[in-house]
Parts: sequence; structure tokens; C-alpha cells
Amino acid sequence: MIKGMYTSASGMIPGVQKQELVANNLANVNTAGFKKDRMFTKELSRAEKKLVPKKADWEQPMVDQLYVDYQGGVFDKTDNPLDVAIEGDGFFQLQGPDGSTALTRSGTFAVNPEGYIAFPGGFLLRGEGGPIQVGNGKVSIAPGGEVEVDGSQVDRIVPMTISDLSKLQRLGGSLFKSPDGEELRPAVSAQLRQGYLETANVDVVHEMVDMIVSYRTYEANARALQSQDQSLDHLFQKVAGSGR
Amino acid sequence: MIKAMRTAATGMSAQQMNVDNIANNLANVNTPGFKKSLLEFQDVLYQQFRLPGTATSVGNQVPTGLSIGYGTRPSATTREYSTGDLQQTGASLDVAIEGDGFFQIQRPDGTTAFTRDGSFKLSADGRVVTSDGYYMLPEITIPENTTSVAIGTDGTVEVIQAGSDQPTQIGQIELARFINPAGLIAIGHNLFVQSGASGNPNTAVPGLNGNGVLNQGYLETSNVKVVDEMVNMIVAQRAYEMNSKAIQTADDMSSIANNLKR
Repeated sequence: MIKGMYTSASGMIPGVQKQELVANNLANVNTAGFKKDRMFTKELSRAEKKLVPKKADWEQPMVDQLYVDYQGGVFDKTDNPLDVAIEGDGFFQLQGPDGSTALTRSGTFAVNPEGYIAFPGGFLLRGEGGPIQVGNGKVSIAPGGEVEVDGSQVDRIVPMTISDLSKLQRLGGSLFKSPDGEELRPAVSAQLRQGYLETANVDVVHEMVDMIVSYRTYEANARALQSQDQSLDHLFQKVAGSGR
Repeated sequence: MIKAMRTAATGMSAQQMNVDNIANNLANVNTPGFKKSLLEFQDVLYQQFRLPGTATSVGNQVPTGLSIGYGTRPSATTREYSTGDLQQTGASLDVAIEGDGFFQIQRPDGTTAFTRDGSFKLSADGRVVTSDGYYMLPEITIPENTTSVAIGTDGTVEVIQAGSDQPTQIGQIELARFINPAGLIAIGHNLFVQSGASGNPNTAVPGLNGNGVLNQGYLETSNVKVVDEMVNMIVAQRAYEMNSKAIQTADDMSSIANNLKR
């Protein structure tokens, strides 16, 4: 009986986390280059199988299968020459103020006072030859990544990727970090689109359905917990009654 | 539970700011030389429950991490400096810049501001001023007995004075360009001032060094596209609505948890 109550309670917890995840996806529905989080709920098998589960068994995270969906968003025309979208896979490679490397799909660039193509937060866009300096000329970016200033090529943007995207770590600020020691390689099928931004790949209908499902699952588990509580209540009353 | 509510609240406040920005673009749809701005967003910190690649108790590495985000934040308002349509006015002191560059304006405190609004007027002493009475730099004074003013595409200002049929050059308009015009600070009255991010102005005559050319008798309309703004407004409104639903659901779930105990 008590174990069943724990089971019901553990069924409620993923509902909370799912709701947090949906809220974050919805909050970022307008964030350029945002990639939505998805999750599977893991079966709580380990603790279930044990006759006498320990507290630690119940405390295992149940939302084990949480992953970022890297499916591409759609392209939104902005006409800003420094808004760039990647069609296909790959990420823009950024160089942080401390020399660190970060990746992003959000192509919201600007030219900084030193004339480099920069990303909000002090990051510089890296081309084949390091940070790309464009000065105050007219920048045009070809689908193949060639950056031209007033008609002459200065550098080339090569979208980078890693072999296993699930190893990427989210840093916030629309940035991703590749794990240490992981080699970045050029993306195979990537084309750049100047004057476009990639929208978030959040599908609002999907998120709304997820929200309803997680809410109802949560509710059902709460009901189950309550009815077990009621049964216990009956039991105690019966036992107490017969003893009288 | 509370986390989902705060996360969705960041989404609501971000969309509110988005609508504020769209409203300002729409309010300035008829402002000459106005440049629309676009609000950009970023996701914020992720709470890392478990990093990808950390070891599990049995010696394996977890393939994927576990992290939940904390919402969104507005990261930048990017001003878009594409040229608006040129509208013919016929006024001799209306000048539109076709291409890049800004007119230079002297503010009353002596500092220089920059504008794309070329609807110039004359002051009582014959100087070329903005609608607010600020002098254009370099200063240009139109002589008293002038019958007509001609501004060339290269910025030369010539006048024909009464009793003469030959034009006399009385001044030269110069334009300023910036490495990063998106870094200029808008101070209202169609004026911009330079910031650390915009870099210093490079002045040159129109048509040189990448500067645009001048068109006398035209005004540059704002580059706001009403349809785009309307679409953005609908998107922002719906996003606001959805985030409020997320808050409601989180609240309902809290209420269920609260009612577990009879």
C-alpha cells in the first residue's frame, strides 16, 4: 500500500519536470536558433523490482531521457545583412573573450567597434582564419560561407558540428559547448542564408498537447495517491472499529 | 513547480517588451528617416542536473545530460539601417540619403548627433537647421538674397542670388559613416549619438568612401514594413498567451499537490 503511494508520487514528479520543460520551450518560442528540449519518462524499474527499496532507489532521476531536438527551424526574413541562418546542420563557431569556443545556431551578428563580426556577449564569429574582420565595408555572405567585403573575399564561415550532437552542453545565451577533447568537424550539408534568421523549432501545438498530457498524468497520479490514502483510512477505521 | 511559473513569466515579460518595440516601430511609420528595430532573444541559464559524459555508478558514461532551462531574455535590439523609400516633397531643403551615411547635427550642448532625417529648415540667421533648430555640420548659411538653392548628389550646396544668373557654391554637406551603425544610441528626435560600440564617425562627401548620394526634394520614409510588424505583433501576442497558459497549468498542478492532503 505504502509502496503504491510512492509509485504514484514518482509518477507525479516527471509531470512537474515536463511542465518546466514545456514552459522553457514556450518562453523561447521567439528566440532565434533555439532548439527545443524533449523528454521521455523512464520506467521506474530498478526500485520496483526490489522488495525492500532503499530511499536512494526512489531518488533516482526519472526523467532520464531528456534530449535537445536539433531539427531545423524555419527561416524568417529580416533583411539585416548581419543576420545569418544555417540551412542544414552545423553551428556557427564563436570565440569567447577568454579564447574559449562556443557554438550557436542563432545568427544574430553585428559588427563591433574593432570591425569584427560579433555575437551578443562579447563573442566573435570565427571563420577559417580566426575572427572575421570586415571593417566598415558592405558585407555579403555567400551560401557557401564566403564572406566578401566590398566585393573581395576576406574569409569563409564554415559551420561546424560534432559526431554526436547529444554530447553538446547548453550554456544559455543561445550557446552550446562541445565536450572537452571532442573534435569539431565541418558540417557536410550546410548552406548559409544572409538576411535570414532561423526561428525556434518549437512547435506550439505539440507543446500545448504535452502540457495537457503532463497535467492530466499528474492529476491521475494524484488521484491514485489519494484513493490509496482513502483505502488506508478505511483500513485504519475498520481495524480501530473491530478492536473496540 | 514554481520554476515553470517563473520560466513562463520570463517568456511573458519578453513578449511584452517585444510588443513595446513593435508599437514604437508602428508609431513611427510616418517618421522620415526612422529606422525600425528588431528585438532579439536568447535562452538563459540551464540548471544542469547531470552533465553529459559523467560516470554512472556502474562505470558507464551517461550519453545525454539532464538540464532544464530557465526561460528567455531579450538580448539586443538590432536597428535595421536599410534605406526607406524616397518620397518626393519638392521642398528645396528636403534631402534624402540614398545609401549609407548620416547627416551630422550639432546639439545645443556642442556634441554631434547623427540623423537620416533630411527635412531641413532655415533659421532666422539663414543657417540650415533641423526641425528642432539644431545646426547641420559643417554649417551652411544661405545668403539673404537667394532665389534658389541647389544641392548636388555629391553634397555641394549652390545658390543663385538675386541679380545674378550664375550659381555660387556656398557649402559642402558631409556624411558620417560608422563601422557598426547598430551600436548607435537613439536619443529621440530622429537623432543618434555615437557609443563605444558604434565606433568613431568617418566623414566624407556623399558618394565617396561608401557614402550614399543625396537627393534634393525628397525625404526618406521610415523603413518600417507594416505587414511585417503586424505579423510580429500576432506572433508576440500568441506567444504571450501560450506562456500565460503555462503559468496557469503550473498553478493548477501546484493546487493538485496542495490538495493531496485532505
